[in-house]
Amino acid sequence: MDVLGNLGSGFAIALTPWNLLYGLVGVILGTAVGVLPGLGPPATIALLLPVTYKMNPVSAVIMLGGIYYGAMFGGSTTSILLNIPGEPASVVTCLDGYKMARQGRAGPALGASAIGSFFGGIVSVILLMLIAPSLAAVGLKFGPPEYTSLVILGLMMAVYLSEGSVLKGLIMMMMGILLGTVGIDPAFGAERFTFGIPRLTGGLEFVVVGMGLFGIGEVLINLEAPEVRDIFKTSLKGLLPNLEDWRRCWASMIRGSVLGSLIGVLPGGGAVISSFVAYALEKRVSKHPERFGKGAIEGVMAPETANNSAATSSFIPLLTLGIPGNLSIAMIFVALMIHGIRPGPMLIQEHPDLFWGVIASMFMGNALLLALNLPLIGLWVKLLTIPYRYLVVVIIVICIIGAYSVNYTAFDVGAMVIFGCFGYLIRKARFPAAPLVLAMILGQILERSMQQSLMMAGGDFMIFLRRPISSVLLLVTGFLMLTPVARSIWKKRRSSQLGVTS
Amino acid sequence: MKKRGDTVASFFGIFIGVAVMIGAKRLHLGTPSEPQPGFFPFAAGGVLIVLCVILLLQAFSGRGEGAESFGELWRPAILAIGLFVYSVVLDPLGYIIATTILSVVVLRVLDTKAWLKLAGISLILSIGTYFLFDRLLDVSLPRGILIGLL
Repeated sequence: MDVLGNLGSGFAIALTPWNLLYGLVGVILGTAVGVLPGLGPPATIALLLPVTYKMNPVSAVIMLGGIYYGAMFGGSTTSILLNIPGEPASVVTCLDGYKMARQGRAGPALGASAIGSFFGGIVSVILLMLIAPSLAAVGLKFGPPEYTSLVILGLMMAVYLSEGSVLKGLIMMMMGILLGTVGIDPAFGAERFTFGIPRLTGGLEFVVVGMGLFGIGEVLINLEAPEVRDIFKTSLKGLLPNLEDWRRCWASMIRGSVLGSLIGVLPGGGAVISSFVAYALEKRVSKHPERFGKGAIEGVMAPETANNSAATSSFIPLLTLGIPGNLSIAMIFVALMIHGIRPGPMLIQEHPDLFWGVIASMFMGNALLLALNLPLIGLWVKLLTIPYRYLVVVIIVICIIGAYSVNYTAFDVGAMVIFGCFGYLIRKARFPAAPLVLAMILGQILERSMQQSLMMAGGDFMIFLRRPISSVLLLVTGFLMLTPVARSIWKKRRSSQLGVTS
Repeated sequence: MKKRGDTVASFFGIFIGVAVMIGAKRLHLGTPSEPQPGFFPFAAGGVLIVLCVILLLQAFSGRGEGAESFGELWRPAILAIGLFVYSVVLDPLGYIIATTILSVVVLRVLDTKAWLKLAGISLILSIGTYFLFDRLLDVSLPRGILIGLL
């Protein structure tokens, strides 16, 4: 079979010693980042971007991808042991995971989340492998109008799936689109909004803005009231869930992986949102919803399975349509561009080594992670004994090096600080930051395709509605915009279910 | 004026939107069939203004979420100022010296009392990351006044 042959050649690429090493480094770093609160996968990927400049693109994506899904494995550790999510996709794992730890069942909780993550990851890689090539074939039929509508849908989803008010998300999205226009305009070569600053002609660096908003902004918020935390001492005996646990949660694992895979494919979707939806779904289908929040193993299994499958399946829109759906994937998008690879429908045909090599590396990465996480859990827990103040310094230094090394200029460090302060202020004003950063990249794709469409149609805006695929995409977008009611219900339900603060 | 945070934010957004539209106008808008560089930002600036006006109206009518109150501001303020200064002195002083100083300031702000410990950790951090990134990973960092030594 074609798929098996391709997969075989993918394994041949992924199993070369260097790629194995990069994959291993990626998943170990990812786990560490997942375990440590305050440093998310996007910032870590950004930090390692300059390190990948001299690698070949396949190794680069293998390592950076490993960070993203590795963090999904690690993230549950702090949620379960400390009631502090290691990264945002593990927020909901706190609810039942920490309760289980309090009941002396930290071991099965950690085991369930590792096994669930593994299962979800594998299901999702298989999905990626099977549907990506046909989705790319559909993508090849996309002209500028279809891309315009797809990007608009992606932006809307990013707004709707981010926390907080939709209006504020839309405002952040427009800010991001405008920030993306800074620099030389792609069609005419005119300088836009550079204020005569030579450094700005190349545009604002997406990595710098992201690090500022998420890295520095988060640190500034945390410095207002430095937390004091203590690890909940528990014995880690018996990492495997018992038979009774399995009876309860095997179905959650399957539901979580299907749901996670689907949500990961959505533009604007990804690991974070999938974990919330998976938890909500489990609670709804359970015969004993009252057990949730009191240490139900399903409440650990489902979101942890879902977040890893979503992390993996969110590679699908990147590798088939060239549309990054979330921040981590956007960072990998940037990495590909740096290596001169334009993500899009042609990628699988033009760079089969990249596509199949990365897929094979994901199979191995997930297996490695299971091996790393189950027996070595004690080691990861040790990481948590590092006091927060040292962690803060390390996060700051990582952001500085990451921003500096994009262009090797101190100007970018300054820009990052400005966006850090901006990030602090918008967080205080309850504006979501994610739509802004995503819109910076998607806005550029939007402008280009919109311009091309309009020129094609002689300035007729109806072109977006006359083409069938484009009109369906816009219809879905319109439907989304008209359902703020549904969203407010969803929000209410979510807040009533979740008593944790992120 | 119940939601001061939202009001301030929407005025800021309207200001940005107006500035963008004026700037975009200067770049030439063109027509939809022949869009010029200013066309897209002009439209985006317009949408931003509309959204911010809606937020403003919500704020005046007392709806919306409003802002969080500020906690102790001195620590974030010191860090922000420290980072600004850092970005200015990074090239002249070099990575190792600038980072050591910044790290001492941050740790001090976060209540590390023993000066010896402060200095030790900061030095290890800056020198360690310098060698890791500059020497091992080929990410060259500014040497500054230590250029003769490194």
